[in-house]
Amino acid sequence: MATRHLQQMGLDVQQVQVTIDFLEAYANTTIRELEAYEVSGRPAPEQIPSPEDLRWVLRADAASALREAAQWAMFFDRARARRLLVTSASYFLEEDHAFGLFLMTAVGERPSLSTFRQGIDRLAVLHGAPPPFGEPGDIPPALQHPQQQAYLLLACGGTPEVATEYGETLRGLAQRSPNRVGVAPVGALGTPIRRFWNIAMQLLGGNAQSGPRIVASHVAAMSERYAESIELARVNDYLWDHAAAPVDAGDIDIAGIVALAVSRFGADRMGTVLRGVDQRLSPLARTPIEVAMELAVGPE
Amino acid sequence: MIVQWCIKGLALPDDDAARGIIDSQSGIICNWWRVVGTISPSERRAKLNDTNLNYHVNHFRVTDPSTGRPFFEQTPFISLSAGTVERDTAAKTNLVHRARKTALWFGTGFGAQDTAYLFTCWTILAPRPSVPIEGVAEEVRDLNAYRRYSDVQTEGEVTVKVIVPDNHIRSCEKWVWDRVVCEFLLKWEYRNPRFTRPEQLSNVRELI
Repeated sequence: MATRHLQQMGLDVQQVQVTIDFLEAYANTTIRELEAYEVSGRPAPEQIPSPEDLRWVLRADAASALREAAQWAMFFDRARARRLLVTSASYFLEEDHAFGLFLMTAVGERPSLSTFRQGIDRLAVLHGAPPPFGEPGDIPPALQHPQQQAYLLLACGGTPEVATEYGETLRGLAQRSPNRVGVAPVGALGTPIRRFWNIAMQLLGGNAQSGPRIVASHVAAMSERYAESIELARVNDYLWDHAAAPVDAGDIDIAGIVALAVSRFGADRMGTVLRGVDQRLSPLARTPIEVAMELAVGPE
Repeated sequence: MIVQWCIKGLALPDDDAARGIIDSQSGIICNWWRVVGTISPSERRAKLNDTNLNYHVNHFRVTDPSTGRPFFEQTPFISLSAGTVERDTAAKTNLVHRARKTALWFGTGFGAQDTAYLFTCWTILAPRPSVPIEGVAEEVRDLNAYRRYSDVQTEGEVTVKVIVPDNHIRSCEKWVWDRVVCEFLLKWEYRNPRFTRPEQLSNVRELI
């Protein structure tokens, strides 16, 4: 993978490398704390403030830092990015964040079909439908949020076995969901959930000809928003130059969606349609798409 | 008013300098005070305005028209990290910002150094924008150009004015980044004997 995108954005590759190392070291520190807590059952003495649920805080903290590290690594170190994403996903999944499933499937990991069936049951109950595979048990609080429902649907849609096996059931659920026309912001770009939902529905079995084109048009729209977000962030050159601006220079949503679409529709087809929309975008807006394709199909 | 625990991460030359912030009883002072040496009440009032807060948050290195120097050299504000670690926010964003991570990042000079000194302190946070009121800190989410994830998401930045008083600082911690084992290690903690607990401000009266 190349560093050209970072250079085009005026970012120093060395600084980005240090940022990745920092975030991974920070995550390791948090994981060590978590392991110590699991053994002792006690937080570090006189922690201020004492979190109500330290286990949750530590897991979420580790997952976040690993995710951020991976997003930077996507620019030039595919193997490291994938390794960091898988570890991050495992901590998200421990907290029942469907986002973890999205990350796992985006990097080609294949959770068991029973994991997906449980997710589908939960989605059904959340949408007032009988669970198709039996009792789903408790609905995790995180899944009450539409953002997590969108990531679950995407993970299902981007996993060919699941989309083939359960596509019809999922499409039925997705069709009746208010998220289909919802406006809740999802992801770093604040993308309206309706866009995520529609992408997932295409993955779940939209028209094989138009599906890839529709996904590509959504990705293009998100990429234009990405470009605006990055341009705003660059105004604060103090934070930007230090790779410290609170924006996602590496966009995991676009990367994940492209990877899932490649998995579902094939690299050739998605490459063709993405190149089609690419030509209408500014160089900055093309960045997340090119990074995503390299992460999905590039060499190790 | 909200009492907010925060962390300030500083890159300092050595342990003496870190302990000195507590031992000298000077507290953490803003760059402006440090540079000019003496500041007056009227100057403080003049400096604490929305324009300068916007410079501090969004244009840290811009040339300050009033001094002709980069703004950060004489900012009257001090950025602290409060973090944002809430379950509902995390479920919407899949990201938490812990104060310690941000403080370590700034305290190591964005990874340029291996050592960071983290000062745990508290401040009084205004419930709404109150830039001219020196005694309260600002939550800067509404000023920030970034709109990461949604309106409910902030980066957990709190901006204090002019000084973090010495007795608001509970302790200083020295953290060292061991790049070989890829971890941060807590080397020591230095407690402030003059620390005043924020519970002093509680409006709950005990039954006698």
